[in-house]
Amino acid sequence: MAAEVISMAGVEAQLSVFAYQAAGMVAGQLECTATEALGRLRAVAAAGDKSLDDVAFDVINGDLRFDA
Amino acid sequence: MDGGRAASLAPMTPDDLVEIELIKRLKYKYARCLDQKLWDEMAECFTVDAHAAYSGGGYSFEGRDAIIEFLTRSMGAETFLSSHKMHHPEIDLTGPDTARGVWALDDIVVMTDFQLTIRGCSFYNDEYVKHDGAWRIQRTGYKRIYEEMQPRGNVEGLRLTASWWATGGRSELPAG
Repeated sequence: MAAEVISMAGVEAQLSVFAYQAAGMVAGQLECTATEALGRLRAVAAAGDKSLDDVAFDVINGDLRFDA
Repeated sequence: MDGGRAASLAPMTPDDLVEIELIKRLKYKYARCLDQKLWDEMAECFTVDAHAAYSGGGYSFEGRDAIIEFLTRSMGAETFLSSHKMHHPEIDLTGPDTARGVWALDDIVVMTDFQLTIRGCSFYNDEYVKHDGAWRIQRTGYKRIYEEMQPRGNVEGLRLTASWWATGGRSELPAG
């Protein structure tokens, strides 16, 4: 369950509110830590030459899932 | 604009108060649609060419469609619980169909995925226009007085017991 695997520990504090939201959702989808989820989001952003917020919006909107 | 009633404005009339009440209802509708995630209804609040500059301009958008797209894509998740309370309105009618307003905002966001709470206080500066008898937001934006964040996972005893979506707005605590 997401609440058990996600913590702020090790996650940098200088992210947008939407990056946090998306990281939490991805961590729940993958049952991984928030740090690992952020890494996945950053990789998608880099591969698509998009901002972290743009990728976060895709996750929040349901257009991008990591458990499909 | 930093707010405050312009000294050059004409004395307020009872009819003005009706218009000001309608503008208050517009702002309250905006806040309700925001927190209940009613994006189609939210679109009724804006002019087609509206401008929005949220968070001190960090998120700025031109046009109603762009504003609604941003709100939908950024705040649409049902695990993103928000409470936006608008109060202390200072609304001035600047013409027969134009007005401006300053509002205080207190907002709390609870993220149930990340287990994070973000809360803050802001002041909005808005401009409104009246078309076909209905007031709409022409420009809106806020700057923070402060904002802070707090992890929820390490707060002993903290437990979310209701959510508009996850529990249908009903408390999980037993009644009676």
